[in-house]
Amino acid sequence: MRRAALIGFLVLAFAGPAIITVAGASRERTLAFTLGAPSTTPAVVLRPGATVCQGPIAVAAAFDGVELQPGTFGAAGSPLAVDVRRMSDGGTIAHGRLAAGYADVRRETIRVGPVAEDDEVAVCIRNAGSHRTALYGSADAAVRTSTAMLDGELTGRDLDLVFRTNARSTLALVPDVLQRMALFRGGWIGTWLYWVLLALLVLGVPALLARALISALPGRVDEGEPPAP
Amino acid sequence: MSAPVDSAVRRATTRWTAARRIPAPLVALLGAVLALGLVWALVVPPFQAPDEQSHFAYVQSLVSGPGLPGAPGHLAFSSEQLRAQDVSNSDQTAAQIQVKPTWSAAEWERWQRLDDGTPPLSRSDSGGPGNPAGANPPLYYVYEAMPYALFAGGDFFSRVTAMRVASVLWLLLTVVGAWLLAGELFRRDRLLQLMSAGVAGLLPMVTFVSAQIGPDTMMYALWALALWLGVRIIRRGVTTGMAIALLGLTGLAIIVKATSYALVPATLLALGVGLWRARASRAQTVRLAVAALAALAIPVLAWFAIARLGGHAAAAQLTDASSSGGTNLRELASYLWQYYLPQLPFMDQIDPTGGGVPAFQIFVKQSWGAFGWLEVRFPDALYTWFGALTAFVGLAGLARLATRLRSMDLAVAAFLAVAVMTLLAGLHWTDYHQWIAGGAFMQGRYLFPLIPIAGAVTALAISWLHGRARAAAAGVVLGGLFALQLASLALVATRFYA
Repeated sequence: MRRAALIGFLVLAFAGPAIITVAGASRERTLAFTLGAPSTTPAVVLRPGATVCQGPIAVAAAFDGVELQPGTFGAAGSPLAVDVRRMSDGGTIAHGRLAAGYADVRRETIRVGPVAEDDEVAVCIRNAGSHRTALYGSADAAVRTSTAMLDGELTGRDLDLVFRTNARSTLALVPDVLQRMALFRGGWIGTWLYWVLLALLVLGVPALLARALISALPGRVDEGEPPAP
Repeated sequence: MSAPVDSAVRRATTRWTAARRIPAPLVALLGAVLALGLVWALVVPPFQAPDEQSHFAYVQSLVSGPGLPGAPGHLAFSSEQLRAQDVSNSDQTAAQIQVKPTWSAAEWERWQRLDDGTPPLSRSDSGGPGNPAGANPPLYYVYEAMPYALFAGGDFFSRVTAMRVASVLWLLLTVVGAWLLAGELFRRDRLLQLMSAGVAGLLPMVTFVSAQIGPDTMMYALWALALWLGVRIIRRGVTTGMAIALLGLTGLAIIVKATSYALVPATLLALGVGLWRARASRAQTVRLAVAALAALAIPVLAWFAIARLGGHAAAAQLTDASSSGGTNLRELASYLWQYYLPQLPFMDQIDPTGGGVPAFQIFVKQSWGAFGWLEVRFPDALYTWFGALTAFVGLAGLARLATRLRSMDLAVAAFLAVAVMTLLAGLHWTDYHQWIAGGAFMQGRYLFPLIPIAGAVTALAISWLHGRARAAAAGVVLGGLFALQLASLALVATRFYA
C-alpha cells in the first residue's frame, strides 16, 4: 500500500517539474525589459526630421535592440534613426536604423548595439524619411518615472518601447528571475533567500508531502491519539 | 527535586504530550503548506493581487493615519504608498499582461535611500475616502496592524512582506479546520482527512489568495473552524463552550468580511439541532442559547457601534447589493439558470461575464488558476480539463454520499448544504444586483470559504476505492496538487519576471 501511494505521488509530483523544465529549456525569450506602456493609441506623430525622446529610462538589464510599433498612415514606412543617449551627458551610446518600407501598425525591432545594465538613458527616434510616422504608446501616466518629448516639448504620452537582447532559454533566466523577485521586498531580503526558497520548493515540500502521505496510510497509529469515536 | 523544577518538568511534559497528539500527517502537511505560502508571499510582486493596495492602505490608515478609512481631508492612499507603487510600477503592471514590474536594481537602491529619509507625514496622510476596501469590517486589518507596527521602523516594502507572511498563518488554520472537519465526517480516517485538508491547503489559488494582504484568508480559516464545530456539535452534542465557540467564530467572521453573514443560517441550524438533541431542561437550553447568541452578537454589535460613532457603513456590501436596482424575480430566475446552463429559447440573454457559461468562466477558471489581477492564466484548453475533473470528482463524491444516506446523519448533511446554499445565494443575489447596476462582482475566490467541503467531497470520491487503489489515488491527488503548485508558480514567475 505504501509503495502504491508513493508511486502515485512521485509520478505526478515529478511529472510537473519535468514538464516545466523541458518547457523552460525549449522556450527562448529575448525580452531584456519593458518600459511598460502598451500600444493603446498613437502617442506621437513624427513629421520628417522630427525627433521624439523617451526618458529617463533605468536600464534594468543589458539590451541590444529596441522594439516599437510605428504607424505609417497606410504608406510604406519612413526610415527611423534610433539613438540611445546617456541621461547624464546626452552622449549617444548606441545607434540603429529601421530601413524604409516596413508595414503599418506592426511591431519592429531595431538593433542598436549593446547597452549596459544600470545606465540611465533616453531613447530618441528621428524620422529620417519624407513621410510622417506615428509611434504607438499610452497616456503619460503609464510610466510615471519617464515621459516622451517631441523636439524638446512635453507630449503627455509614453512610447511603447520594449528592450530586446540575445535569445536565452527561460531556464537560463532563472538566476535573473530570482534576482528580480528579490527587489521591492524589504532591505534584508536578497537573492540568496530565493535560492533557499527554490530548494525548499523542489526538495522540502515534496518530502513533507510524501511523509504526510505515508504517515496517513492505514495501519499506522499516531501515538497518544485517542481511539476514533 | 524542588517544587519549581518539578512544576516546570510537569509543564514541559504536558506540552510534549500535547505536541505528540498532533497527528503526524497533519504536521507534515502544515509544514508543506507553510513553505508554499511563504513562497507565494515572496514571489507575487507587491500589489499584484486583487485590491491588495487597498487592504494595505486600510491597515496604514488604522496605524499611521486617522483610524478607519474615510476621513475627509486625507488621501485614499498615503503619499508613501503612492510613491512606492510608482517606483515598483505596480499600478501599470496590474492586469496588463505585457507590462512588467520594475526590474532595475538601481531603482530599488534609489528607493531605499529615499525611503530612509521619508518624513512621517507621508504615511499619515492616508485614510481618506475612496479606498475600495474602506467599507470592509475591521478585524483582519486590526490583526494586520500588528506586523505593520512591528516593522514600522523598516522600509515600506518590509511592511508589505511582513503583512503577507502574517496572512499565511491563517492558511494553516484553514488546513487545521479542514482536517478536523474531515475527522468528524470520516471518523478519523487519516488518509481521507489528509485528502480533505490537502485540497484546502494546496490548491494554488487558495495559497495565492491566502499569501496576500486581504481579509479572505482570515475568513477562510474562520469558516473552516466554524464548519468543523457545527458538525461536531451535531454529531457529539452541544456544550456551552462549543456553542459559544461556534457562534463566536461566526461573529468574528462577520467582522472580517460581510460575506460571512451567509454562515449564520448554518450555525443557527447546528445550534438548534444540538439543543434539540441535548434534551436538556428549558432553563438550561435557554441559558446555553443566550450565551451562544451573545457570542455572535457581541462582536457584530460592537462593530456596528464603532461604525456608527465614526459615520462608517457597517455592512456596506449587503446594503449596496440590496439597494442597487430592484429585483425582477423572473429575471433573477433567468440569471440563475444562465449562470450554470445554456440559455433557453424563451430567455433574454443574460451574460455577466461577456461570453461563455459564467459558472465555468468564473468558478472553474478562477478557482483553478487566475493569478495576479486575474490576468495570469494557464492556456485556455487546460481549463476544460480542470472543469471535467471538477465535475468528475464532484459527481463521484456526491454519488458516494448517496450510497451512505442510510447510515449518515442527515442533520450533518443539512448543515453543510445550508452553508453551501446560503453562500451561493448571497453571492448570486449580490452579483445579480451588481449586474443590473452595470458592474461585475463575482470571483472564483468567493467560493473558497467552502474549500473544506470541497476537500471532503474529494475525499468522498476517493473513498470509492479501497486498499492499494485508494492509497495510489491519494498519492496522485497530493502529487497532482504539488505539480499544479509548481506550474502555477512557474506561470506567475514567467509573467512578472521573464
